[in-house]
Amino acid sequence: MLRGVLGKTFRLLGYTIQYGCIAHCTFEYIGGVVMCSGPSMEPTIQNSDIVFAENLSRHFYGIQSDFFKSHSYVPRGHVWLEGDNLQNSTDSRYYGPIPYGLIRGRIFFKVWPLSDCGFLRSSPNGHRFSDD
Amino acid sequence: MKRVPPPPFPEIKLMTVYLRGMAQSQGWVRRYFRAFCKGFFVAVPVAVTFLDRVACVARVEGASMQPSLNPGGSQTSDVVLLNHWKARNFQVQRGDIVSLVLPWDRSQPKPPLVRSPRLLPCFAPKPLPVRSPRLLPGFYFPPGVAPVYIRIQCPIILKSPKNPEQKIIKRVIALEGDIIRTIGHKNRYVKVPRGHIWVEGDHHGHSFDSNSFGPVSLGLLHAHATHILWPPKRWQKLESVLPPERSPMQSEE
Repeated sequence: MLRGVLGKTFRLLGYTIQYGCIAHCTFEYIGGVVMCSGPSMEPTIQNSDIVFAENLSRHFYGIQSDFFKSHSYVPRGHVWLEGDNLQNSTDSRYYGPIPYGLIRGRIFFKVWPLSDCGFLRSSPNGHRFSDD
Repeated sequence: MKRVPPPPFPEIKLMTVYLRGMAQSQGWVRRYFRAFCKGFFVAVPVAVTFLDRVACVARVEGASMQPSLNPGGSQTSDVVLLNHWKARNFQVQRGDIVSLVLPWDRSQPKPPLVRSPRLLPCFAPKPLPVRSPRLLPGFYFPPGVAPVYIRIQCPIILKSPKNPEQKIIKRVIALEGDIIRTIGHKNRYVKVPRGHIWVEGDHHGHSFDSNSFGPVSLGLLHAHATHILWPPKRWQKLESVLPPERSPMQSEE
């Protein structure tokens, strides 16, 4: 009786470890599902939306330029992040440019709510930036 | 006794014998294939998770950490044990030897200077032509122990966005809040900002470290290098020693 329970416990532990490892590999190498909270990306992403995130590919890497004066240029190897809801977003305007290696992934598809699912729209604030 | 009528032609008899043999061997192949898949889906994720989260082994290249690592130059490279588990909460002490994700790769072509006349932060998402990423040295067993060169990352399926980037092994010199005197940095004295650390190689002048790229964000911490595993005569535990001449001028403790 005890051996049966012990056997079942070990088998459950084995399955948990196996599926945990599969989940880790999926999130690390392919991408994940994220549930979002907070108002900083409205109207693109609302509170408690569920999105797919893919891991970034390296071609995104070489776009920054040399650091010159404070905050006129984004330093090399860094990105400038901003939320879509500029009035209510704590982002690079507060904590500065972020090293590329800290970025976990890129959200490319919204899954939930179903009425608003699909690929994400481009930034409503994109007109602020220029590269001439 | 009922007699089975013989097959009309000897070729058909041979054909039935052949097909029966094939069916049996196919059944055997299917069972083997199923067992292989089951083993594969257990062993590979567990091994990959262990190597990503607990500990892995890596070969050190370069002379930037002499004499602690690679004192023999290019003849023998040290193989160190990288302990991810110790670094899981991003706790480091001054003097620890750690591996980091490189903040930027100096082998990449320098992107053109992007400038904004309105002095707004520039964000130019133009994809630039990039050289293919350099494959990591990977993990491999020393010759004689296992003759197989095992490269854990399959470049098509398992390309982790973090792992293809270069890792560097350096010593932690200063933590957040410390004021440190730099060697070859554009500022003579630097205060390490919050959430950052200052790393340096032991071989000053031959090291691409914080004196080149400034303080490093603690989130880029990859692992602690705790032991040297190869060559056998260099088996040792790496001590976390801060050179006294590199201690911070002022620390926030």
